Amino acid sequence: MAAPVLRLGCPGTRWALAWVGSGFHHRRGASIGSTSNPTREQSAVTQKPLHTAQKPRKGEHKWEAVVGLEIHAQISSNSKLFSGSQVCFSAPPNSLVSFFDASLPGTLPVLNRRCVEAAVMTGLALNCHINKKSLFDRKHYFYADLPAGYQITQQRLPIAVNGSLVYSVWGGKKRNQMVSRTVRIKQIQLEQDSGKSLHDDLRAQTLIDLNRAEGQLRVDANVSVHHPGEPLGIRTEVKNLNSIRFLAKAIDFEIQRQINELETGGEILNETRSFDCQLGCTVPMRDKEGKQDYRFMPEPNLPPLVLYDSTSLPAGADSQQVINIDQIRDTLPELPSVTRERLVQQYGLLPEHSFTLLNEVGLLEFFQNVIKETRAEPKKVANWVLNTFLGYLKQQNLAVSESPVSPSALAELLNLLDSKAISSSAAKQVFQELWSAEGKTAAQVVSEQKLELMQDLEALDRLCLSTMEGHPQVVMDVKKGNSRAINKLIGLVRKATLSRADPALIKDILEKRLRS
Amino acid sequence: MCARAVWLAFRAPLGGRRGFTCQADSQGSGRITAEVIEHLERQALVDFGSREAVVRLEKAVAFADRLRAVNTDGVEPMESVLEDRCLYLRSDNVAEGNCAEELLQNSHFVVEEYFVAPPDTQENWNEAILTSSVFHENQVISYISRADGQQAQL
Repeated sequence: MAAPVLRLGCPGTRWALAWVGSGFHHRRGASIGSTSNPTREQSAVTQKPLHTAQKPRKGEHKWEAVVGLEIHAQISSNSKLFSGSQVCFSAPPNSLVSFFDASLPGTLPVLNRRCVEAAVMTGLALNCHINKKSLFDRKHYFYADLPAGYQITQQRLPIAVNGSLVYSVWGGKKRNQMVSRTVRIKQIQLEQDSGKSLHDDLRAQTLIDLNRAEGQLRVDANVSVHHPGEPLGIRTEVKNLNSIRFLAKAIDFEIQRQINELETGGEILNETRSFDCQLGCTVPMRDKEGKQDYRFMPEPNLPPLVLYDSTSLPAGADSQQVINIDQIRDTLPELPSVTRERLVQQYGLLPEHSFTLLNEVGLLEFFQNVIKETRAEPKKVANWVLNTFLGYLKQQNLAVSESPVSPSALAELLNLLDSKAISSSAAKQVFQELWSAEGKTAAQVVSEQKLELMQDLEALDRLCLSTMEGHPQVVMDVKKGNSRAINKLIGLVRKATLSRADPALIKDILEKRLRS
Repeated sequence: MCARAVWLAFRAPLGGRRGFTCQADSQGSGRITAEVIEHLERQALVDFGSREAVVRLEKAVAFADRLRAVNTDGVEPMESVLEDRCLYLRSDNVAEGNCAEELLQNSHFVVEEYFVAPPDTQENWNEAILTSSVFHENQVISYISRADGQQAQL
């Protein structure tokens, strides 16, 4: 209980009204059974922008869908939002619970400074306006894992509002171009988390662990459709979304379901639905009451939360008791969009490459370490890292940290390639060897498999000559002007050299010979 | 109509009221409909046993409505009686917890180290909470009455 959670609201304009009744945790987990494994979302939280779905029938109006995401992210802190209990994964049940977390009478919430800082940082990173005064409220509902009967949240005046996030997706005709999109962030609020329920249907009981709820990142989607220019439609809330993929599927399904329903004369109920990942559809959750009434009221035990900036900071204030927004802004790390732009400028990479580098954990660091140790051009390095290296990782489902090839090893290989000691096809062979036989260096593999490029120009010249003499017909074709024939000659010479000669060099020599 | 309107306003608010009051229909008589009572009973898990109890509630609301006699034009609503206090910020250290045994002693039924609750159905919920900790409407009404100087009838 009281594990700290940040809630982000991404809008449609509906939100001002919808927020009051939105059913966070209303019937969570009930239909799934035991849910003790938290789901971990790898990539950054995605938000779907305004989406236009078209019905293929002629004469029908276009439909426009509005999607809002309610995202619950657990704050990384040592102790909980309102108590000094530890925040830690996978502890014995009810061992991280204080008297306040168990809602024993007479206990009071005490706000964790670190959580406020985290909320401000998040707000700043998402271009929000930070409210210098924000308020805490109680949201009442009954559930076994909420012993107090209410949850402390920030409904009226949250800590940050009106932000935005610019992100990139694969777009264009072939979906291989980076397209920029923006999503609005309605608000960010600090919120208490509930406990965890394990449903034991066999014995008709529910087991309650008040350490914290499962899942470090949870998303609910709110979907409605309307005709452009008309008022927004009734929205439904979709829960039980365990991955980005299911989130996308559920939203797509729900948009289509609503369109179908409305086009056949039905109506959309303001309800909570659950996503059935096996069937790929949303189903209504057991809900006899319709809209939930949370009876919001101000949290009487917490004064307003006041934040300062450098101009408004009171003189002589205890630094532990005040939070300076400007100071927190200075501690923000480089944000991903800035990093991506910097990579494009610094290394001349394409935005697509920059995007991929930041999308894999550890890949950027790997790339930068290779760059440090190699003379090769950044573009070449990027090509090897994003295509060859990443390809091998994906094939064997490995993380960057599990790679058998170190940045130094790849750097050495690229140096050999750069100095033309080996050909690019030989380099690929070497890479494969480095991947499967750990501990060897590129140089070792090259000498073991005799992959060095022929450096002896005279020998190569003789080989070209002998090949030409051995295939007079091909030589004739070339002299006649058949441009494809020279490639055949190059291929023949390459075979003769056991692929140890640079094709470009071979071509040069052949052309010289053919001219004479 | 929001349930909280029952507690706060039956008539349109005067002055600059914001926050949780909402525009309620003017009912004039101050009667609370059966629908609202049902809703309240579900939301707050209270039990209005009789018509008498509802009348007492209506009187309590009428009493609270006397606040509206005050002209609040141009006055900022008070969000919290603590508005002049500083919100204390605790540093992020682990200082509590690790008392599962003690906490579990409070519960009649435990399974290993888990609290036990009946399965998740609304009927079970209502029954469990109503029987184990009946928050009788009398207790609510008596609190309000006492503020008025009248004696409560329990």
